Amino acid sequence: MTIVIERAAVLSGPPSGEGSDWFDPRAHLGRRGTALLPRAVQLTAAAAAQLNVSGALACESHRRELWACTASFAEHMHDEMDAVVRAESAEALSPARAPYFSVNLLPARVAQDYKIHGRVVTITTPGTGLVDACASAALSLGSGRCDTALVVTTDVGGEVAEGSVALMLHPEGRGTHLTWARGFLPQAVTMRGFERLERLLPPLLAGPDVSLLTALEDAPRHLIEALPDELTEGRPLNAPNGRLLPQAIAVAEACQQRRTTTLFCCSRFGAWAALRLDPGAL
Amino acid sequence: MPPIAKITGAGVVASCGRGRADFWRGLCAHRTGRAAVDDPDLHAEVRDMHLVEDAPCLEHSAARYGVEAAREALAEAKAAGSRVTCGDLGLVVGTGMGEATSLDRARASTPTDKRMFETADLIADALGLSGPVLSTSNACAASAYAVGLALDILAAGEASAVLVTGAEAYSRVALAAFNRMLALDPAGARPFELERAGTLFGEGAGALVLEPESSSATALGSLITADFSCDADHITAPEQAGVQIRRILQTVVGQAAPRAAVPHATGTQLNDELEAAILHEVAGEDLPWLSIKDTIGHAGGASGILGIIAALAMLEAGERPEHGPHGPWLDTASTHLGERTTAVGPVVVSAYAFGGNNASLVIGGAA
Repeated sequence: MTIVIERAAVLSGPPSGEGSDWFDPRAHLGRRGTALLPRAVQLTAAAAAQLNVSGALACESHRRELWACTASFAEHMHDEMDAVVRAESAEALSPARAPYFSVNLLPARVAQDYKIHGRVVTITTPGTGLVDACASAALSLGSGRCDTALVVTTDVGGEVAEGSVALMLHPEGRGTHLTWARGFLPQAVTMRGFERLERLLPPLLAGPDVSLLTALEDAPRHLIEALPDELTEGRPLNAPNGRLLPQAIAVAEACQQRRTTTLFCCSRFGAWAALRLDPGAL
Repeated sequence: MPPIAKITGAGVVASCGRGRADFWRGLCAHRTGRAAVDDPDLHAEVRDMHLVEDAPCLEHSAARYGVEAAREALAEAKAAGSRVTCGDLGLVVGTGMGEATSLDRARASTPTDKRMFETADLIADALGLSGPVLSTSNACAASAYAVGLALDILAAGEASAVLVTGAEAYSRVALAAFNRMLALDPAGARPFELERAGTLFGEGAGALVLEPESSSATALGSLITADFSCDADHITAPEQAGVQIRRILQTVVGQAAPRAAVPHATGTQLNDELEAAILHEVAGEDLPWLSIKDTIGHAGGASGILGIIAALAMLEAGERPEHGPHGPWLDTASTHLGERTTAVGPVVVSAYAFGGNNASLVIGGAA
């Protein structure tokens, strides 16, 4: 079965620590019930709202799924909360924010907004989390477990762009077809690991007009040495510390611009994943 | 309903025991491993947890527990005739806090280059895996959700077998947050008791080797069915009518007719009241239940898989051990707990989590 990304929305800006704030949650989400949410949760809800999915969610609520991924939300919240606990005590934590030590509350507001009663899953694989989220959603759609899946990617904090990207996936229909491959090449390189990479990667790179995007900032040497030359010559994304947002923005842009694109990403230890996007018929 | 996957190996690390045999002995004997954490930077009223080891708690590691459990599971699968090698294996890890312990230590003193959710990477690298490696962090239901992701990977043929691991170690931030939410009971987790007042955290890891039904290996158990849902309601409390919990429980009970249960059973007011009522209503009034969190604590993302391993042990032993000297229990729970029972068949295991994430799975015994 062909799985397609039907629509994509990007909400992104410079890091909030750099003076003027580009994101006003009230403008995106209204004034009620959002002021105390962590910024990452606000951004995620706002990106999903930008997708205009309400009309497109025609299926029963238990046939909807939501897949979230992030490389930074949990560490960001833990840094903030731990500073309070060490300097004062657990009693000094904000009761409204304390539950957000749990990373899976990142997509909770979106689940509420769109009554998503199927699986709501938070993927935290470093470096490859976006491809894992898209692949997991596609497997669920392909198996008939759900009819619609949203994939949201959010990163905050640090010195690079922050924001959120929302994708809407359907089985068949109009949109960008997606295929993927993934595996792991351990530091003590195994023949099996190398063979898997050599077998599964080339089909995703094949074709004359494939735009190659790479997130290799964290790539370990043993993995770099195993990659085909064409991949190491792909356009690098600025995705430090396993950030997933730059990957998600690139995926959204490839869908919107109808460019055949393969994204390759990896972790510091040797997990690798590739996602190929082929524009379907209009 | 035919099983959807074989379980060919299992391994466990918990406060009551390390290794499957010792884990079961510890559960039956209610060996708790409960102690106060020795983290000088934790300023909180409730400091007790069910700890796996005596070493300073800031040196504990979810990945290390995960590797230990995984090695036991793989050895068991090999002994069962599994032809799966590490080169064929995928890995799905369910963890709520990942390597938070290292980050807690780093903020206070020792720098670390670890990232929070590198648990899966660390396990995969230690074992030399080459299949897909994923991390999912659906809070207290994380490892139950990991089983679901593993089933999808198996069904799609992305790996010939999948190692599913749930792993959790001490996290200062998580323990502080639960203190702030008044969700901890200084007297310990007392699932389904009238006087219950919260949970206590536990450390631990569990691992399962899942293979397709076509595998020639001898199964030590089977995964008969699984279903998942989201309340899409309150961020921490279960939806009051339990619509989504009931929906998936009705599905799996209808498909697999379980004869025992390992409920989520945290000892918190809302979870236990709702879960007991729905389980009593949907799965039958005589079903024996085994609640394990009074002994091993609430191991967060690892709790679902620890429940599955307890279910496997119950099926192997052919009995549900006597519950501890507890009670009085909720009316809807009292007929299901108490004395040892030998009426054990397929076991329904549930895991629920923040964000309204619900999972129910049914585990069968060896063929």
